[in-house]
Amino acid sequence: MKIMKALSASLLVAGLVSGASTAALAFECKVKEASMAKPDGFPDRALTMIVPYGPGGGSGQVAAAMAQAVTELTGVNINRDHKPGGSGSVGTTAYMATPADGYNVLEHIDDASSAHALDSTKVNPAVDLIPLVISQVTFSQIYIRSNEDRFTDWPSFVAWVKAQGGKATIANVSAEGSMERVTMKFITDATGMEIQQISFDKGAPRYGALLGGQVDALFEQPGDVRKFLDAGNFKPILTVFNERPAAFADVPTHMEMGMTFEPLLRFRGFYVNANAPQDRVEWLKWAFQRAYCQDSYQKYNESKFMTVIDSYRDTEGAKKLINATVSQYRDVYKKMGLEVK
Amino acid sequence: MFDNFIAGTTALFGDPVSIAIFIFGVLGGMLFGAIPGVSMLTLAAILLPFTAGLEPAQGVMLFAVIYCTGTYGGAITAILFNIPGAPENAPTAFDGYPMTKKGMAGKAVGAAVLCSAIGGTASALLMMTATEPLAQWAISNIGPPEIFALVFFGLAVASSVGGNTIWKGWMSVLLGLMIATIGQDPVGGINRYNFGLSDLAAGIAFVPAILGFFAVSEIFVQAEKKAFGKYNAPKLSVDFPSFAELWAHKIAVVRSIIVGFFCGILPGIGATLAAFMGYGEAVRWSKEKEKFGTGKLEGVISSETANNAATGAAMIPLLALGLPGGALTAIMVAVFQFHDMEPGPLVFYNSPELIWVVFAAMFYANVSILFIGLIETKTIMQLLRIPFHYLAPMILMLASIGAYIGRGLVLDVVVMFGAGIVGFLLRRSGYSIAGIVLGIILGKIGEQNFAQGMQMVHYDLVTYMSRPICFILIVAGAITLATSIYKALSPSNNPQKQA
Amino acid sequence: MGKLTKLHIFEAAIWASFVAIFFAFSFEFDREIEIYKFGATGWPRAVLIVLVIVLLGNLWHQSQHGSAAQVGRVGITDDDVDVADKTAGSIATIVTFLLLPIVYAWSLKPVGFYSATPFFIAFVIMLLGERRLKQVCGITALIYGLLIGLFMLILNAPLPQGTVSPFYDFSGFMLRMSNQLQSMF
Repeated sequence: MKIMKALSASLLVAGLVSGASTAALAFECKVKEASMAKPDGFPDRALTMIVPYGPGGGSGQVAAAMAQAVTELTGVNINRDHKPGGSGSVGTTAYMATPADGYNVLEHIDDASSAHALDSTKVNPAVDLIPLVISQVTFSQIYIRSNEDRFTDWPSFVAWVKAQGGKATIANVSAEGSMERVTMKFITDATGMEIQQISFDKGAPRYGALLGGQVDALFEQPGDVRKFLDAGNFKPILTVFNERPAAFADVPTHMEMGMTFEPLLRFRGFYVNANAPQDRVEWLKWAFQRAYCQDSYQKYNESKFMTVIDSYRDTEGAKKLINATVSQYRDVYKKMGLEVK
Repeated sequence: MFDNFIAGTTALFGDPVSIAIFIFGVLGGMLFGAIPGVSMLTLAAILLPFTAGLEPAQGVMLFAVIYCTGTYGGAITAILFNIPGAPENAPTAFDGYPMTKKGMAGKAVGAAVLCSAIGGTASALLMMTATEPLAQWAISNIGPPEIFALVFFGLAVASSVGGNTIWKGWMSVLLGLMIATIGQDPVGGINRYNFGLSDLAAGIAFVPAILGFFAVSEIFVQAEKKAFGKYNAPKLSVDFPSFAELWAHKIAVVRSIIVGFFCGILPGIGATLAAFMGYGEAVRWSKEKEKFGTGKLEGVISSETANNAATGAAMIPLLALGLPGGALTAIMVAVFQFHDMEPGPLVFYNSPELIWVVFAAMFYANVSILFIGLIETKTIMQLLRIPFHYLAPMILMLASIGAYIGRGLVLDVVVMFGAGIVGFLLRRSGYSIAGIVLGIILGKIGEQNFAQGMQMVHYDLVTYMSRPICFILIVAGAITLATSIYKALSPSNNPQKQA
Repeated sequence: MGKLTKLHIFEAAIWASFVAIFFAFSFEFDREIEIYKFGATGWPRAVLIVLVIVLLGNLWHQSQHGSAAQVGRVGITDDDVDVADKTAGSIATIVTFLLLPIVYAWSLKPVGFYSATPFFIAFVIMLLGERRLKQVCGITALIYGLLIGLFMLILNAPLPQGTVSPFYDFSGFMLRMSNQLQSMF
């Protein structure tokens, strides 16, 4: 509960989050220039995009969609170089070793911010890197099977979990200090329930576990389980966000259920080394921010529930989001007793 | 089912692009499987980014076809060079390579062609009938506790194959399990054994390990022979086995189809376990046990029938549960996700046409092994004519690229060459390099599912063993283990002369 | 001691030091995991304990039966290098052959694939006994050409580009060439 109080005081993120309209967003491209001259012929060959995750997951897919959109827009090819492992740290280290000439870009998620919060010697995405665009921002939910009869909504779920005396289970992906683990800690602290978290690092077994009744609930972001929602296999019983997004109008938020913590968001974006030549960075910013407006990219984001809240941050917006996230995680880690370096 | 199959066939061969992709997959799988140093996994990893531009059915079909023909292709290098194209081809080398040394490469390859085709086709037929009902059953009956029990059983079986004593068999597997703990722990993501190297947080992948232990260490062994003037080029022969020779092994074929199919269903370890079990069962039922490992045709037959029989079976957990049965099916999950699809029970409802195009393609790919395989193999065998000092750098380079492509880490190339040196030193000391590789593959799956299983049963062994599948598999594994320990201690199995 | 030889003891000592090193390093990550009773060390330490038991079994077996293989084992890899033929020169060759690939692999990060590979191929060919310069260069060019053609031009595979100049610039040059060639078709 102490953590909760500390957090409710930190309203930095709240301002950023509530800035997003939660009604269905009418799309308007924020970058007006439809073209931009290449600075001194840059780029005259394919860019390399290092993706610190495998090709199949959320990062791999958004990297593919963004690379395609940039190529459609500019005609410049992007070779994706997947370097998964170490919760994204291996790819980031490899990226920092590449020359800062603008030909190498990086995809990364909020894990980079939380890793920096825990250990400030790690790359700071707002300082060591320049965010070109953040193109996906999303929230988490808790899901149960649609045909579940032991509980049907959040209050009955909490009551049932409490009655199990710690034997109820929830599937998530829960490396130490991750967004998932921290959020679950907020939830269990706020409700006073005890639930066994079971960590699945791959999506399919995680969803299979809920589908097959191996676990009682699932912690996930809506875009990743869209198929199961559309097919009526899963249903959300809690949204961890400050307002109800229109697409989930009948699902209560954690705030409404009496939990006052600030939600931690999942975000994915694209970066370039801060030491890259300024004119090249400007061109890359234009290319990635404008590519966000391409039809193919918007269609992709829509299919992933990434349009139900505002997913777009330009360089300045991204820096604000990253800085807020870092300080929020740092507070949480200190309260959790983790060693913050 | 028959109607669906016809519909799948029509969709497959009614579209010129699909036909082109099918042919590309058949030839590409065979070629990459059969070129020493690269494997179907290399091709799959390279092709993955390109599938985004294909229709979902075409993309998945391409990889399914590569899987069928690549599994067969991997046998060629196992037989000719002692370099299995994938872990599921490892037991093929046990007898296939000695046959090559004896100048019987043609017979071994001929048997591999025929048995791969038979095993694969039978498996494709079983897959078509069984996938949907099995999917329904498995999803609620197989969870992490059961998968751990399967891994335990698989390891118990694996340790009884390879290594010249059970002790060395187990030491090999345990070494593999320890190597698998390098990287992040599966529950808390805590870095383990990175020895100050940040890249080690990614762990040791099994593709470079396979390439190092099999391909690179074999090159080292041959290079040593050459340096000591003991190198004998393998003898080329295209003398294929006669029908009578193959017919004599009909029971082995049927047994391997059954063993291969049922092992193949197991997620994570399917095809590899299938090949080891197929081989192990052949030994167990044989009257000439001692001839296995010295170039016995039945060894090649049982292993190659079993691993191709596993190809169809491995599609069951993949399509039904989204659980890949091995390295290549794991890449297929990525293909699905590239197209915004999740392999799993929903695919049957959302895209039945995709399923049946894939099923039909796998059926025809297996049939085509028989025809194209025989022609292609005669060409591939000519590789044996290339002088070793030209072939070796080519294999080392292809292996380096194959190791690097999967994760884009130079570390993987270092690991591969390191594994090559370790394999070079260990293989002459009676250890089993196949055992080490299996330990690496199963270690991560085993630990993760053990942790999840224990969390689910709240660390209560009684609850764990009250799950019927867990009980059966753990008991079966324990019996296998006890039998092999008894054998190890019994004087009759330990001759007093030096081997 | 039975049939234990010095080689057996040496072999056991290597395994024992492997176990000792891994056990000692397990204290580096010996932290509790809130949601998992056995923590990050439970599994690796359990494997190490079993390994010690099996190692003792192996020693016992060797003391009873020497290096003899058990009857009924399958899949034993046999190698038949005759130790008697070893000369200082041939041993030096094989040691160089084992170490060369490691040097190549380490060089990939700073130097990159495009610059390091031709040298590696040429060295391997020479180590394997080819001394005719024309052949060495010709075959090196052929293999390098095939690899570049297949992986860079046709498949666009992302290969290590190196990080230091002038090697990184050379990789950039190769990729530009590749781009121009691809755009012609």
